[in-house]
Amino acid sequence: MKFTWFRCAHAARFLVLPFSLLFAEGCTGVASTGSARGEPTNTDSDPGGPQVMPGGPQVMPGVDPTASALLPGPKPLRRLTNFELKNTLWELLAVDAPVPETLPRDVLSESGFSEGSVISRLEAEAIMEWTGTLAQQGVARIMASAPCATAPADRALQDECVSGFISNFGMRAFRRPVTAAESTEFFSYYRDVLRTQQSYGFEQSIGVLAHLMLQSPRFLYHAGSPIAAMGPTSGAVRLDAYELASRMSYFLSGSMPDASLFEAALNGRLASTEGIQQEARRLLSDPQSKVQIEEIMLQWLGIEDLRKKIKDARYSFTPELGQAMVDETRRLVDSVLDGEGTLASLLLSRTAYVDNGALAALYGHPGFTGNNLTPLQLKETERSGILTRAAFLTSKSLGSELNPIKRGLAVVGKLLCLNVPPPPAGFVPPDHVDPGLSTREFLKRHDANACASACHAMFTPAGFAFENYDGVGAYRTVDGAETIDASASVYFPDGTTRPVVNALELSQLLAADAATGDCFADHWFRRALRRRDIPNDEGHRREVKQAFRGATGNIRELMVALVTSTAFTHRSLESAK
Amino acid sequence: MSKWIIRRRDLLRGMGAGAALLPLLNVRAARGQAVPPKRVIMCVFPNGYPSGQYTATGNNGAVDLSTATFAASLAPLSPWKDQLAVVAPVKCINADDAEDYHRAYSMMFSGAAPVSKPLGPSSVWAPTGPTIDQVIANNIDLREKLPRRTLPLALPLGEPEGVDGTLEARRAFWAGQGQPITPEIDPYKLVKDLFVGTAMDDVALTQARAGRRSMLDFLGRDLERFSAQLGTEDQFTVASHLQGIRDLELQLQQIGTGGILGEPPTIPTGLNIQALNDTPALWEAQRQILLAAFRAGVTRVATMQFGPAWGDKLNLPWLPATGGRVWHEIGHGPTDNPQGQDDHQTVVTWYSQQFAKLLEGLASIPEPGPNSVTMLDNCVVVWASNMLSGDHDPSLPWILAGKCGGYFKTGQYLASAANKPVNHLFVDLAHAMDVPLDFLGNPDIRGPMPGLKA
Repeated sequence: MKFTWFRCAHAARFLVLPFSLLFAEGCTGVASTGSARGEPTNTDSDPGGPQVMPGGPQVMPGVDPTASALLPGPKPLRRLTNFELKNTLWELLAVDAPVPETLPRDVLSESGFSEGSVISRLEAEAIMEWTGTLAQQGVARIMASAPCATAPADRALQDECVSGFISNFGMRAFRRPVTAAESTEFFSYYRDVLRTQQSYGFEQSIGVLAHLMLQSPRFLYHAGSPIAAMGPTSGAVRLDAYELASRMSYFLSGSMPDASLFEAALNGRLASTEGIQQEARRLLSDPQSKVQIEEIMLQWLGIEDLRKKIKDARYSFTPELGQAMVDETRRLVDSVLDGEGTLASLLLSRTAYVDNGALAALYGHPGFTGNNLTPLQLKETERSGILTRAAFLTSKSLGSELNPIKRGLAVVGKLLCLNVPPPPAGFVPPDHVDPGLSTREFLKRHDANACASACHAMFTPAGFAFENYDGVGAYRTVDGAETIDASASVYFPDGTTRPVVNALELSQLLAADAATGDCFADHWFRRALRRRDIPNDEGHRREVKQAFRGATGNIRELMVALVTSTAFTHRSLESAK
Repeated sequence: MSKWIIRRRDLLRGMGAGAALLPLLNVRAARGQAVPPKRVIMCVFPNGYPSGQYTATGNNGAVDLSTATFAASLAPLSPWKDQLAVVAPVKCINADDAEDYHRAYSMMFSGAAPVSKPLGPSSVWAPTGPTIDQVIANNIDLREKLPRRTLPLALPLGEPEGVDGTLEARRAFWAGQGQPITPEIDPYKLVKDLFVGTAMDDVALTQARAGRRSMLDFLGRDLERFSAQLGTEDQFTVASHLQGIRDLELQLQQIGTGGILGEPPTIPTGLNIQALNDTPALWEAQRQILLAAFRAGVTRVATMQFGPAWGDKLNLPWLPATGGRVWHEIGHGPTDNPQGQDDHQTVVTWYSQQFAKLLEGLASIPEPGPNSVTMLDNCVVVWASNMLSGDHDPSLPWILAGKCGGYFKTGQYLASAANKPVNHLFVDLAHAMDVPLDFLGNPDIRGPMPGLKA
């Protein structure tokens, strides 16, 4: 294990220059955020009609392009994640099909959250096969998009029906009206199918069209509207109504827009902040959005798919237990959303919904035979909120039991947004705690190394607060021969170092401090925009943080603030030709 | 988007129905021609050698391997000394800073600069250009249409899932920036895809294939139109998708011509690609497939990933001596605990045995012609790791096996290569495969590695 002095110096710089500098920079005379929020006045072009692109991108009004501080950033092309793909196919075809193993897994993107991975030959083939099967299974729903129930005898009427299908199904699959050129292309493909596949009936030919559309990049990617050969090439534009609806829906619900949202886009209701807020709150009241929020929460904290976690044999860790842990954290998120809906309650709730005996035992309730509908109050002296739940604690543990490192890193990175320089790729600390030493003692000696201490001083101390939890999150009072000492000192962005006696107190401290909410908002900002930060984000982020504070840490209101931010409703033209 | 994709596209367009027969003719020509085709296999295994084990005593600085004794980790290769060129540790110039240890995995075969990721959470890099296997394959593809440009294989890589890991740590071969090559693991699918049956008179099947072909053609054009509206960065995202569609088209064309591509190997039933315990059997199946694919002229370029960058999330249950420990931790072992060195050696010795088996397989296939030439003689097998030792030594160990039709000087330890950029080796590989290439990835580093060519 080696740290380099370069890294140390780097770390030390961060350590002595906390966020004050960052904010000082952000406070310089940028244009008032109110004017940047001002809505475009010319969004009243007819967004309807299957062959006319609605709204159309407009140059961001009321913003001096030279006042770049508030210009929104790019909207990089992303592929639908597997979660989004599954949800969208369900909406489109009413077929509930698990994502096949052959499909590429999602990957960690620069935003810190999952994104669909790159498609190459193998994946293209897997998608072709999967969507082909689904198109067959979902034929009833597919035919419902055709204006005619059965094939009209008259050829012209048949063609008309197919054109109608292309418009209707394409509108939903592409999340925007099909352009005239696209419609022509698909129709000519249909003609080819009829000509070359003479055994195909009418229904089958339409099925082939649907299969084709489900492999189109317009379906598979979060694409913007075609803007070729028009408009400005620099500056920023407001997303057209459909692109905005789609962006909102995938962020708030993890799926394509529903009928009401499409209608709101069509009728221009997304042209105003109030209209966006109204639709956002509607979507957030739907149970589907809870599943999406669960997903984001798991990714935010880096909670893994624990079915695959490799743990030391002494823990009797099973894939089922790992799954139960993740399920329990999902239900914690649900219960928080059903209650106060705040970040603080997420950090402090002691209510658990457990339907796995091993997990109940791990939480100190061995006899519990309830199900996931029965709330279980966890022990006040042992548990508090998401950071003290088994899923987080197990995810943030190492095979070596040097758990304070990852746990501390999660606290400072995910809750306090202290910028710890990344370790060398794939780096893990020493394999095993030396026999005879407690974890704390071992790490103390390790961190006595001047170099390691510069990095670790930022996060390992916070991790000690979790020493009451072993590698799978079970509560313990001794580590080896030593009594657990879970006292810790936590470095905060304001430059203070605050002592806590254990993770319960740490959770309290985090729940009460505004820095935690600000950090949470930063992470969700990246998730909403699906990209890494750019300097121009600072002003937008400040607005969002204010809104989140104003809503006393309500998570849904944070999401509403995010989708109404100019950073979300607009994009720079950098990523478009 | 790289230009060759467009050239390939134009080629396909220009070929028409008559030209669709060309590939088959080429396959047959390749098998019947007087000079057997050259082939390259590039293998990568993670975590390098235990400290001090990438040596042969008595040969340091010397040239002749026949007088040298390999360290234990390399011992399985002893019978193959006359076929080996052991290259002193070279540098991955884009990942040789002291802190770049494991980043080499995605960077080691391209010589190109990394994609800059200044603010992202990922500390792993991705190359801005293609890897050498792709460059060679694309060049071959311009001349002869083989069913596959490359055959990318891998043992289970512990595929990343969301926050679980980064893709870059699991992709050693890249078609270009943002275009990682997904390797194939499932031997049953490989056999099905590579070795087609004889049911070509089945009308329904023919029709289904025609349907698929027209679908691929449409999708390819659709992706081109889609891509035309994107900015450069976004085009990278789609380029790999487009290439994937084109590759599927190409594969289908081969099948469509009725070419039976050779005898498929017999694969035992019941292999589970999720079960790490099946790893040895899985590799054996892949080895058989690879040899059969070469023999049948499916491709001339293959890649093999024996594991992800650091072996994280993978243990090695088929090697009980490692006690179920994660391969990554074993890699760190040598300095952190005494058992580590032994465990690391156990794993690397196994890898060396697999390398030897691959050479055995290639040497067991006689090439057509009067002399007792084998496929190995016309091959070059690259055996490389992303680090010299599993504990953060950023130099790259490379062993080349096979003379590749007389290009390489084997039986030697190339001490003079120490600390030279790996880029020179790419030029050698290209030249050995009759691909003109002056440099790859970095125009400042040109020409072959002195002393490697016979």
